[in-house]
Amino acid sequence: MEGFEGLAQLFPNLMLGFQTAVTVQNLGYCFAGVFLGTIVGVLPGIGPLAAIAMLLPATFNLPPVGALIMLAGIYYGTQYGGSTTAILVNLPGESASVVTCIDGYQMAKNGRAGPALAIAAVGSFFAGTVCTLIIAVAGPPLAEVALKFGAPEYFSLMVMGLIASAVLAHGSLLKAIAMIFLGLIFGIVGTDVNSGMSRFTFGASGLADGLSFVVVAMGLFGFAEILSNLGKGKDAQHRELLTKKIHGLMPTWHDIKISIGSIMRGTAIGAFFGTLPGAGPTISAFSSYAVEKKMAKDNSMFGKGAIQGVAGPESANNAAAQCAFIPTLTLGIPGSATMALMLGALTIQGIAPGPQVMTQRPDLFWGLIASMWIGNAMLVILNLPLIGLWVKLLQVPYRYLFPAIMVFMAIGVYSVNNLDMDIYLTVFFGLMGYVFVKLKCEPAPLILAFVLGPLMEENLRRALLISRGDPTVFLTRPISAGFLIATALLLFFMILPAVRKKREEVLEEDAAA
Amino acid sequence: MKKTTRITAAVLAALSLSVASAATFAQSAYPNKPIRLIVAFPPGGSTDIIARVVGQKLGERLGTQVVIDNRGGAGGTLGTEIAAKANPDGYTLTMGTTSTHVIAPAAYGKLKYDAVKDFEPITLVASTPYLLVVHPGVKANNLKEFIALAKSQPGKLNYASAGTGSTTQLAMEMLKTSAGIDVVHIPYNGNGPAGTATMGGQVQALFGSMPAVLPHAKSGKLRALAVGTAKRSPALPEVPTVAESGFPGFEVSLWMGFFAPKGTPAPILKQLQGELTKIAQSPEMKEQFERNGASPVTNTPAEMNKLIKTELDKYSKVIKTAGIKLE
Amino acid sequence: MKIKSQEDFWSGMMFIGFGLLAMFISRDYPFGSAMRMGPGYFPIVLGGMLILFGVIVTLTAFKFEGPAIEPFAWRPMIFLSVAFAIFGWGMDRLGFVPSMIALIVLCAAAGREFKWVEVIIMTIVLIVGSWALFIYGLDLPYPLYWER
Repeated sequence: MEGFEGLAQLFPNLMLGFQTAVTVQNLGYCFAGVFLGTIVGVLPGIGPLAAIAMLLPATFNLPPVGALIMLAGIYYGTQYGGSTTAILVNLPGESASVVTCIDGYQMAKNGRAGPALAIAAVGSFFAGTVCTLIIAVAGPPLAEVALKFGAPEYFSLMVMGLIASAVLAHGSLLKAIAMIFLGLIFGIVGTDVNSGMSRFTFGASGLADGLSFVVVAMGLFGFAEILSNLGKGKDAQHRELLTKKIHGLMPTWHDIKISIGSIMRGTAIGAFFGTLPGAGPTISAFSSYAVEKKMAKDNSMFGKGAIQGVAGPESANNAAAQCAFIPTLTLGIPGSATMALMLGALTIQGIAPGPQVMTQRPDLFWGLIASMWIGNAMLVILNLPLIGLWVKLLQVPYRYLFPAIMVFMAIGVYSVNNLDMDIYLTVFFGLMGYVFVKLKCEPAPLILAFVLGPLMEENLRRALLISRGDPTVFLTRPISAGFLIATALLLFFMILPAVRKKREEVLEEDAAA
Repeated sequence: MKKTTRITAAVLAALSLSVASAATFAQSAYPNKPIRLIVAFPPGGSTDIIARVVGQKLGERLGTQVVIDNRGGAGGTLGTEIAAKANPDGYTLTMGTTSTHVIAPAAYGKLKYDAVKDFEPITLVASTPYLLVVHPGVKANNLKEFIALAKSQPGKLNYASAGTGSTTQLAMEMLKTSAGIDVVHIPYNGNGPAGTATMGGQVQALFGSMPAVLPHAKSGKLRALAVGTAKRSPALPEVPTVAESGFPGFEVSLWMGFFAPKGTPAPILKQLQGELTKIAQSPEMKEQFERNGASPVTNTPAEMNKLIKTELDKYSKVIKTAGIKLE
Repeated sequence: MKIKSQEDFWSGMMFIGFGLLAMFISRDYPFGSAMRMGPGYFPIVLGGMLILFGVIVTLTAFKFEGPAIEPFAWRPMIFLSVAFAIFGWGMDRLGFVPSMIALIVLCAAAGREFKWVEVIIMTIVLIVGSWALFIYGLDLPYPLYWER
């Protein structure tokens, strides 16, 4: 019912919002926010969280609406900036961008960085627009769904996510599963939420809060990639990174045609998972990747630069990032540290998020909704022309480019906690990532397991604590049971072709022998 | 020839400049460079936000910049340790809280700083109350009924906390001991998730921090039973305190205050105390704090030391009885 | 038995190694029971699973043909690691500028072409650029040199 009322009221409300938000001055703040956000977001390590924290004081002295619109700009700018580095130089600034790295960076290597960046921007804009409408129309009822998610539901969702992450690998399924277990083990490092005990910390206080995502991602992706490029020798470097022809800056009609479906599916997936506090964007991004890989008529390009592998996850990621505002605004529950900071910023500006947000200050609330959309639009307007510049950056000779990447990585990693320990750990993961490259073990499943693992263990133990040790809760609660059934199906479809393939290989070998 | 003279001139100019700046350095009053404010938590938490708001104002009043240095990790002990070891020249300050200066010293086996001996307390700036809430489906309209309910089914009810060793757990453990009830602890990762779990009915009760639970108590998604402060909260005047519900002396709140490393010159401390007191008591900050569920509190260094010592005593006992051990 | 795939063989060995290490480190953590898990339950089970899959991967190395492992590039591995480590160690002790010089010069030395003039220009440009961006622009609290 609430949704219906929302719909009837939508247009007058949106009008109010736009009246509040659209002034020359506010558009200026929005532009400044998107611009600053993009610049800061491009720096690896300095993801949305740190960027908003650093730029927050700049908004303190603005009028509320101006501050909100600037913050929205910063938020979207950093999100998109993160995808830019993932595509251009294989540096995922946050867990959702790991998926973008897989095909986005391959596209860049094929000289198609332009189309990858453009489709990411367009997909994000579409997802942002749809999800802004969803927040406006159905925010409160959707937030109720989040309340239905208890420990058993989260555990089952994580199990499904982990199994699906094996799809990210295009090589051996066995190795991908082993990498998932390895990632889960790295996720254990730190203080156990349930008992308060430190595990795998070797007595180092720098490890008490666990390994930071930035450290693991910069090591396994950025550092290892540079090592592997340097190891290739001069000729190969030239071939791969220097003289590679740039095939157009914009997507072709064919690209757009095969991406439209991916963008729409990605948006739907992101909107669904985004409302759940926690790992929304990450789960959305790679669920979308898994779906695209299964849906594509020709999935041979996945892992080698498939544009659907960028369009889908990027839309999903942005949709989830947008829908993460739903629990934040309507329940006052931030799903992530970034959202917590946005919540703080909103409170400073006089919007007390929570159930009353829509009725208390309708002008500010609808002003915020309008700002979100304007922020998304500004992002596309700013970034499409910038693509040419980014792509030019790739033509810088590699011997200048890689020290610059190393510098940004080093400062980025260091800036997270200002701890020397984090830098040493990045080296460790970098060398490990290089070994993975040599052994053809793909790091994406590992890093997703690393992100999801702690949530999984925490919720498993919490669920059993609440049920007083009764494991049937996972099957008697309908949402949880649904996820587990989906997991079983997924596993079945994944193993089936692998088994068939192996059997054929064995048969061939036997025949050859 | 010409080149050398130019270089000499440049060197001379640079030298005289540095001499001049050294002279002003010696003469000019504190502060003459940016002040580093260590926040021992990652950006985004309530401590961080309050530190940023106050830091901004402090910078304006002192005519310098206050740079927030987030050194999160190990429950706030990592950043606090760095602050303890910093140069005591007034250019490094830290925002200490009940967690960093009372609970951590009481709960951690070994800690590399001493909350009393390694710091010069300056003043408190804010304090956040705790509110005991239950899911609306729980058959208890006040604290007495809740205790009766828990006694009638020992070990059946659950309570959420923001983590093992958090103030939210300790508050409930204190209540459990005083009331002699058995409620099972379910740790969550922060106040937000703990609040969601209570609203969703996954657990029955939560002794939550005011900013996290207040909006839901007002909207009826949670039922407020009692506040943990000595006096009733202006935000919820109809809700009684735990103390007046039959547990005199019960008081739990989270305070935040400024500390400098031991040995910071007294005049600087005095100046900072004066400025911070004015900032915390300004109507603008009061409004800002109240939006974040906190209220301004100021005091003197002596009072702060006394507060820390009393609280260390109080929480050490709770931690021992509850068998909480952190490493 | 002949190892047919070096890649798979060593991957398997690596997984087994990490699995054993995880089980070894968590040997003293309280295990609990499946109903009431202790902090040791998850790491032990995961370690066991990793070993299991490690063994399977190793076995496939004897069954299926695979390419040899490409040689490691030792020079960049050493130079980049040392460069990063010095940077991390130096930021709090030497300050921003010296740490950056060490980082950039050592990184450049990891590559095949090393021309002093280029490296010096690059060092200056990168230091000034990142100072402007991070310290001036973003207010990161890093001292420029060793004196605070």
